[in-house]
Amino acid sequence: MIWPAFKLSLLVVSLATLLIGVVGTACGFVLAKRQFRAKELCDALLTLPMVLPPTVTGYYLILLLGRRGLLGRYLYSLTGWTLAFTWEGAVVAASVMALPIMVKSARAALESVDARYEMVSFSLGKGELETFFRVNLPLAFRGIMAGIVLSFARALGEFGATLMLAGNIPGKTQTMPLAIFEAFIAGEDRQARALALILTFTSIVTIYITNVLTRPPKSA
Amino acid sequence: MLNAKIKKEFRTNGRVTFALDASFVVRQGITVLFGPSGSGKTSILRSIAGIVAPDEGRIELGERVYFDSQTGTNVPIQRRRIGFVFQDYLLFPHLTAVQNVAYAIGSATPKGRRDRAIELLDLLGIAYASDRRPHQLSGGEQQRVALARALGSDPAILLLDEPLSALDAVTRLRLLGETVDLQRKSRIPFLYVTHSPADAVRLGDFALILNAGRIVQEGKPAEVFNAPRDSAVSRAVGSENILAGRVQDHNEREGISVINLGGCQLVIPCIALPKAAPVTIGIRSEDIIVSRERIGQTSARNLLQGTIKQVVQDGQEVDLLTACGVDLKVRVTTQALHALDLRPGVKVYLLIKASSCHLLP
Amino acid sequence: MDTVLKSLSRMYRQLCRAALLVALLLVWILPPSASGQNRPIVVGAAISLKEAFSELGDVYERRTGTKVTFTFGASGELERQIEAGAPVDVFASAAEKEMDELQTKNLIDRTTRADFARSSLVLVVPRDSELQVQSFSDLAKPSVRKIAIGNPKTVPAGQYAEQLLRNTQIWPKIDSRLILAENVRQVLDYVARGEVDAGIVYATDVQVAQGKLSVAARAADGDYGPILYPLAVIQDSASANAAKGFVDLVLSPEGIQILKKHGFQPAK
Repeated sequence: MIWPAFKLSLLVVSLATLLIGVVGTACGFVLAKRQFRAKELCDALLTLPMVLPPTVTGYYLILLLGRRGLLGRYLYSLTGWTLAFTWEGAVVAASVMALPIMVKSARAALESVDARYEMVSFSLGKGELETFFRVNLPLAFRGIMAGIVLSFARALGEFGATLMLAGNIPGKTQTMPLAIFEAFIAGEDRQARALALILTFTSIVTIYITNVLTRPPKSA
Repeated sequence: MLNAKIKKEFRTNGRVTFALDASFVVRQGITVLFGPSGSGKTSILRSIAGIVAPDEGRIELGERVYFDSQTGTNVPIQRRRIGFVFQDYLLFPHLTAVQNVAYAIGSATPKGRRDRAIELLDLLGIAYASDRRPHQLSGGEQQRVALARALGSDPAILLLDEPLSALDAVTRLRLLGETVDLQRKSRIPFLYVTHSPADAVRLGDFALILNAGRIVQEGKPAEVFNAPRDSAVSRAVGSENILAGRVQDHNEREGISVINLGGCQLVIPCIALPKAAPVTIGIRSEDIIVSRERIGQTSARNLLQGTIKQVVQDGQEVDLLTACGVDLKVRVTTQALHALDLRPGVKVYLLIKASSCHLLP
Repeated sequence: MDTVLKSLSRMYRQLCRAALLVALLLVWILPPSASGQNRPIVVGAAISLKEAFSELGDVYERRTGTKVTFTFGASGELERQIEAGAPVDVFASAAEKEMDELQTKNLIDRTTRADFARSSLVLVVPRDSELQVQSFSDLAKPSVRKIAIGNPKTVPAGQYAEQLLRNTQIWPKIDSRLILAENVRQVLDYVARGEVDAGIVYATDVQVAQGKLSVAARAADGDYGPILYPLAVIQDSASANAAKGFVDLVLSPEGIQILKKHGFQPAK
């Protein structure tokens, strides 16, 4: 029970973190450096999964992506496949729940980069994309990395929305938090303890890495 | 050659607080854009660069039209071939000097970019600092990297926004000379913004005087500063005469040096520069004494003879624009003007104490 | 700007006053404890008993004035909660296993233990299913891709389902397609929402999801079970008398009638 849950958690959380890293940074950039009318509304919507109870978010995910969901039904009629009860669904649930953290971290990191460097880059003939990758991203790197690590931790501990969208199927969608819950209910104390220890250790390492990354550099 | 007509209104809380309306041409050489703080110099540069768009007008460089309010043309910053040196340099802190310059260069291979970057750094005399980060460079070194980087993008014109204002006097002086050399070597026009009259006179082949959003006078720097057309210009450029010349001779026993200004000579307190060294002398217009008669025995070391070309009224005082080998503006009261019957065409003698002549940094 | 700020702070003060009033009102309105003489009792029951027991609880309240609070869930989950010290007075399970485990640990008053109902398993499919599932063996068809049962580890309905499927030799053919639910009502929900192609639930659960699913087959009695529901009073319950009273009601002819109404067969 422990080993499959561990492997599954690793797979789901790695993919989720990758997805969040890209999408979250992109959203953070647009919110930090561009002006448009619905900006704060977008920020609020992106923050929502962090504020809503996880089961509410899970409920909305099913409404949207379940076999008969608003979007899920098209996916099902086109491919005969649905996100519910699959590890891909677990990735989606973890991503949605951890995305707000990434967006907030990325936005703060990019906002702290002097806006004039972008202007300098443009004046040297560089386009927006190149400027993002060669100027904004390197200068915001520490904050963004910290965001990725925090998202990783959040995705690792994701329970409620995952249970609702992906279910609790050992070997297929039973990530470590779900495995702990089942072990507890089934009276398997030793398993529960082992899993809890693994997750605790991972969390401590995560905090440590975050602190190291966000420490200001030593040079003047 | 840059041809610019820029009109823009700046608003705070809906009310217009500043209106820019400038038409000018930038030709080969160094054109100085001079004006007091808030006169609109930086706004003009930013309009040319494409950072802001004027409300109305037209900006064209050579045959390329960068902005035209009538046709709705507004070429984005990236596609204008304009180099910009910012007041605080804005070197990328995460890149070394050579990487900063290489960033600007568009050639294909990384090696090609690095080689050309080192070439430019060498041109500015700081190739030795290639692999240092900006925070490891002195102000003067950073300025030179900024120049190299702006040139790296192969611009058709270079805009400089008070690039020397943060430097100490010695470095500034040296960099002024180097900037002139750089322009000659690069052969693109420089538009140089400054609020220092001395810099303007030392650098500029041509000067545009900006005041309250308008170009109030243009011409050769020495002319504009020492012969302001009206009181508005006069107030913009300040009361100091700025004269460029070379050290001719020293006389330690008497504690003086002689400066050759081209059209005449000036005796100033002794300075520690070698013969033939270039110098800039400032004489405040209030420090010059006017006489209708030649006076023999005075304590003033300088007696210059000249003719009044123009009389410019400025409230209770008057500026006499005189030609005495060089252009000098002399400030007198209106009473003096009438008492001595000072009019254009009248011959006058100017008395200037050696101590009134300041060596400008 | 200033006028906006001023009116905001006024609104804020008014809001605080209103909130305080509401809080006071709630404290006054909500009864501090039972309206009757006795302390309320807490009944932990398998979720398949939800409708039947809610009705029994109403009857008991009206008759004795003692309030009955229910906590419904999978029997395994309830068992663990009781072991962890949850303040439950009566436990009603959907299988003997959980009750046996509590009895071994001396957590129930074994003199009060009794079987009170019997149920059976059915196979249900979504109402609009086009997969032509008409028997349990049809589950082996390749077109049936997702089958929901309760988690055998913790849900009695899942234990019975596994028993049934193994006894009929269907289990090895379909075990890779199983979706495990946390309780039997979740199985019902999955089928009703069309998230799965078929599910195994109690016959008594079907009427809860009226209209959204149809019964494809009933399990033959010999292949599993029997499904017997035991209940008992928890040892050292603070309201032992009231708890015993509730148990008596469930076992009485009246209780049997109510259970029958909800589809449960008598235990004997």
